[in-house]
Amino acid sequence: MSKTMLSIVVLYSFAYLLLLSAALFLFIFTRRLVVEGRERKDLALYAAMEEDLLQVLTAADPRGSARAFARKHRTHVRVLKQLLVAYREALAGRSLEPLGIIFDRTMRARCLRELRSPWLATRLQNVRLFVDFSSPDEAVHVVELLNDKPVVRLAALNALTGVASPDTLGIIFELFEKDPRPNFFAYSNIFNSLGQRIEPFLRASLRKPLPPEKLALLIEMAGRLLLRGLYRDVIRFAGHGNKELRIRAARSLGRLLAPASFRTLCSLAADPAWEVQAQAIRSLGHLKDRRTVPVLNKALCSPNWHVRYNAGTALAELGLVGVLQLQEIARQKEDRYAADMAAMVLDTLVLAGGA
Amino acid sequence: MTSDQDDRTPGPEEASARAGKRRAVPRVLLVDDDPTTRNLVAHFLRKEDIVVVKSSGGSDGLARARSDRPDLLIVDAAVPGVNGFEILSLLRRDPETRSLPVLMLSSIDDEEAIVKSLEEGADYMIKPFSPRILVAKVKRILKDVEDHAVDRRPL
Repeated sequence: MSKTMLSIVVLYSFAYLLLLSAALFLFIFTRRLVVEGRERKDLALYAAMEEDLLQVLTAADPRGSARAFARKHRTHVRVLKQLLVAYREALAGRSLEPLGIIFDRTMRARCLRELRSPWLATRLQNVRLFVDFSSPDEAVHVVELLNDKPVVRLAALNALTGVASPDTLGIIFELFEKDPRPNFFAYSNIFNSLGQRIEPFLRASLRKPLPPEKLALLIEMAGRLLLRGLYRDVIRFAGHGNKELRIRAARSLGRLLAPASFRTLCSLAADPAWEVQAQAIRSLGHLKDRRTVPVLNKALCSPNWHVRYNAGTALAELGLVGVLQLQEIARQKEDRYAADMAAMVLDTLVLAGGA
Repeated sequence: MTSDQDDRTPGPEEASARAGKRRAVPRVLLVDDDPTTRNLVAHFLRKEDIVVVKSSGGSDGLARARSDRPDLLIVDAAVPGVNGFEILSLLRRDPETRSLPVLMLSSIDDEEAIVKSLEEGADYMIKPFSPRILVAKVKRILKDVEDHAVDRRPL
């Protein structure tokens, strides 16, 4: 009796397991079919939408066509969002205008909501749309993403640069100052795209006791963006104890091209660190000032190859005066290294057709 | 590696071009792995009655540039396989394709890369780009080709 019972239990268990496996298999199979079907449908829809969008971009009245496009496709926001992200990243100039209209009329509110999505991919996709289509009053929503994962944070920063009001600029600099592990490349791109608007914020940050690597980027940006109003703030770092900051100051002074840079750069050309000397000599060359000739002549006799090379090229940048100096140094026999460097620079000039 | 040929039927001009004469309908070969850029550029150029042949891979694009002899090659610098700079350099080394006009499309906003392309005789456009500027540039290049009537047939 117990044996029969046992067989029945085993049989039922087996049947139960079989049914469960079959149900699971059926579920996976059905789900796969559904997903594939949806992907196929989405692809077809994407292709149709893309064709319509291309017609909008080349229409005689792109704004009107964009409004018609938005009316036609507003129910397919998921696919439309993918299309807008792809075209936003491919297009520049006036062609972005119709995309902005479509964004406004179909998904702006939804995208704002989805900035708080628990899914990283969704947040990223939405914030990427705000890079070009955000308005200043939406900055507050984007700012919340500045503490997100790095990829979302970078997109958020890019979006903020698009609505660069004084408030958002202040937020960007505050974030940079407080960021424990800043991505310098990303910040450099952002500051570059913000341009000369950042001058007051850069000045304020330069006056704060920030870590040297952050100050180094700020000094670099002052030179790269030609923020001549920051000349005095930059020159302060020429006497800084940190070598890297002195290098950056020398480089920025060479870009700012302020006549008063001459004296500072001359003193940096005599810096104990050869890296600072090399950069200061290079920047002196950018000044294209005849007063630099004695300093450059002296630097051409430096024991360091980089300093000699920069001195040679700086002399060449001065034109005829510098070339004559180089020829004289190339002829002299007292310092063979200086003569070799001068000859090499002259050879380069001849090869480049500059002599 | 896929490539999608333009769906136009070759007209008599193209037929005569294949026979060795110059084409009346300009023909552009577009090599880019990004389908959005491919569709965008092709659409804008077709609106200007320019025949566009699309290719998504560097090796395929290079082979087509050599066999199809387009009037202009538009190539993405970072196309997979043989990249845009390599394609340009290989075309310039080959006497048969040395004079082929090339427009480099690239998201690399780098001075060295731009100078290198210009030195090799290619135009350069940075992505993202304005399609209107691209079309104007392409039309100018094609007009130059027509004005100079460069015959690129092998000797």
